Amino acid sequence: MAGRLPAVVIDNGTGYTKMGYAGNTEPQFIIPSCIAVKESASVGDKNKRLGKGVEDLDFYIGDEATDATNYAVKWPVRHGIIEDWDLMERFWEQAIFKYLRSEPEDHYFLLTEPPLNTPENREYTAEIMFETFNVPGLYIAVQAVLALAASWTSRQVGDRTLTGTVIDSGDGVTHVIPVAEGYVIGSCIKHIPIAGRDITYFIQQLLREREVGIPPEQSLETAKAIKEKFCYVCPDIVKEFNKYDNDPNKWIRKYDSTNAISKQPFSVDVGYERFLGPEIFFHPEFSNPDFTTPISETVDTVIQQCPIDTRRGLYKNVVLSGGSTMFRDFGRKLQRDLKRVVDVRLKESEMLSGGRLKPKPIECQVITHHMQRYAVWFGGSMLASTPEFYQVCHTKADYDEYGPSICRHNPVFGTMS
Amino acid sequence: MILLEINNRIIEETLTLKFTNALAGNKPDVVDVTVADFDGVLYHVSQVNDDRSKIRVSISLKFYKDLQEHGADELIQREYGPVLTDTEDGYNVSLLFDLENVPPNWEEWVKKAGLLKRNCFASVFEKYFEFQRQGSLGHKKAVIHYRDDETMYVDAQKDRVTVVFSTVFKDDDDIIIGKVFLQEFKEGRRKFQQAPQVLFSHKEPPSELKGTDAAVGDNIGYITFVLFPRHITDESKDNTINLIHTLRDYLHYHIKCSKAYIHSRMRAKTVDFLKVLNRARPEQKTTEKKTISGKTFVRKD
Repeated sequence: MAGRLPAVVIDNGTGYTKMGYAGNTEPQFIIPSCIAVKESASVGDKNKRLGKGVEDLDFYIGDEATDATNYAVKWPVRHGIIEDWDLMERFWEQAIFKYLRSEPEDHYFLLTEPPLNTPENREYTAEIMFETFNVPGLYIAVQAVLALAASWTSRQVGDRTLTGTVIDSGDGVTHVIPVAEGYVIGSCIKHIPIAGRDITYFIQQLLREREVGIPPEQSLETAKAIKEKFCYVCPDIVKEFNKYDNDPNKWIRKYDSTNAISKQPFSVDVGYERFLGPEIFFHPEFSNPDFTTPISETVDTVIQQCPIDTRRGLYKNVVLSGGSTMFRDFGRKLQRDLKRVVDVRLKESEMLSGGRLKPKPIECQVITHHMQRYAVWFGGSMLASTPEFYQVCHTKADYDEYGPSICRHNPVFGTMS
Repeated sequence: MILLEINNRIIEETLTLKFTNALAGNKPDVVDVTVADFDGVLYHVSQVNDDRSKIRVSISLKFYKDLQEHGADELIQREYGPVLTDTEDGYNVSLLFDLENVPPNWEEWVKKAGLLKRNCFASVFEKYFEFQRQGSLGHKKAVIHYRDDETMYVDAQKDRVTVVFSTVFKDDDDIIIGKVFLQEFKEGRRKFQQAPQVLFSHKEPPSELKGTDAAVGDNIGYITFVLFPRHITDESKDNTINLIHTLRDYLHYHIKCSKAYIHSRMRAKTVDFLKVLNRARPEQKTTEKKTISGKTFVRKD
């Protein structure tokens, strides 16, 4: 039966859950990872979750949850890690039966986990999937590894490796995750407190200072739309400023929208923020005075902390994932800056050795591809549509035989390298 | 959510996106989506011959042959006549939508496309409902192998239509939860006189199926619905079909929900026990113990 029906791929992120069937290029649903439940607020209620009758079925997930009135909206995933298993179980229940409409007994499942997930959490996930949903097979993949796999589309078959540095930038936070041969080097992961939301805020602030026509309640929305529509990364800010000043007509764009309440149209001139927004990745001091390390330097530090024999592979394969890496030329600028840092270091070591040592130049390459926005999901979809996937899955028979501890072991490394 | 929805959201959303895009005058994108539905149903949304303005929605049901014997083709023709197209290879029914001239009532068509699976199923019910109303008896039972190991039987009698589902429980616990759940159906009938009668038999097929190839086994259950004429009138017919064709999935959905509920109770209890454990302090070992007469003694372990 597994051969005919596609596997189900669910990527539970902190903000959004991406879910769909394997083999497709885009997830079928992208919904906020929130769940709206009814909670009794009466004093002395020992357990406010356990309702009577069919109250446990009275909840909504995703966009319907944010719209529901008289419900308490909860986010069971925090910082990528599932915290509330009661709610998560119910979230999956509705995700599978209402949104994907799949009978979980017929489909293999691929779920994702953040790089530093605990083995216990993995076991809980397995318990829920096998015990509650009776899935025939389950695979729990690390998000960063899937993002690496997703970048395979843009490359020759021979180049497919599971070694690389993943830059995963969503709405809330940006991670730099080194992966060597499919193993995440957990001790070297770094977080950057700059992500999509910060760019939006920064643009909002720029607009607030200059544009007067934007209704205040739509200011965030407008900034977000401008970010998604017009922003790009420039090679040199000074030159870019000059370009705009010399030929404003060519560069300044107009953003038209309507006031949601009065229905009056308004328009906004989009100028410098087109390149200044994404620039805060490279010059964080623009928006955050406490954090001033450019992203290229962070990437370099991360790789320098990794075991020495993996570093060339990590420099050679820097993979972007997540919506906030979608700006035009983001990869190109990152590659240039990274290369610069690396070259300076090589030159230094050459000087220190007095010219006797000529280091082999290090290849830096940042990979951009079309699937960046849903890279993790797409990687999962790709993986789950290969015949090998069914061999590396943990099956229900295994689970019944050995228990949830089977999920501590990842069979992929034995077969794919 | 107590009842499962009968429409397929993915199909609806994909088509809505396509139509609104086309109406906004944007260039159509490539589309190639394969999605599943309950009972091993597979949908495929794609374009015909690389022409991006022609969207084809195909459905594949493993048991379509069984349905064809009961007039599925006619029903599909009646419901989807204007948009039917040559059937795609490996699929059973294909619909075609042209993005270059979007029909004015496209929203209705999107809804209808989402109901494709339901309408495929409907034929067999409509046929037997009709038999019952006309009182034409003596027809063979309809046998639909709607899953590899599960079967549905529909039969018309003088005063009722019986629908029997066989279902396989993959897990031992499921049998018990399923039994309890179906017990509630019987209880519910006491309160609602107009509800159809529901019978559940475990392991053995009910007497209606004597002499058929109905499977017998430890993990097989049979659910019998007895539909009376009031359930199959023209007004209530559609609702009956909507509900009954998702019954098998409905049952399995609720078994899973019950398990989830039991699990959350278990978690709540564990938290309680942990609280008790955390309050507990180990007993002081070195305290002097006295006998009733006031002597002390040292215990030698």
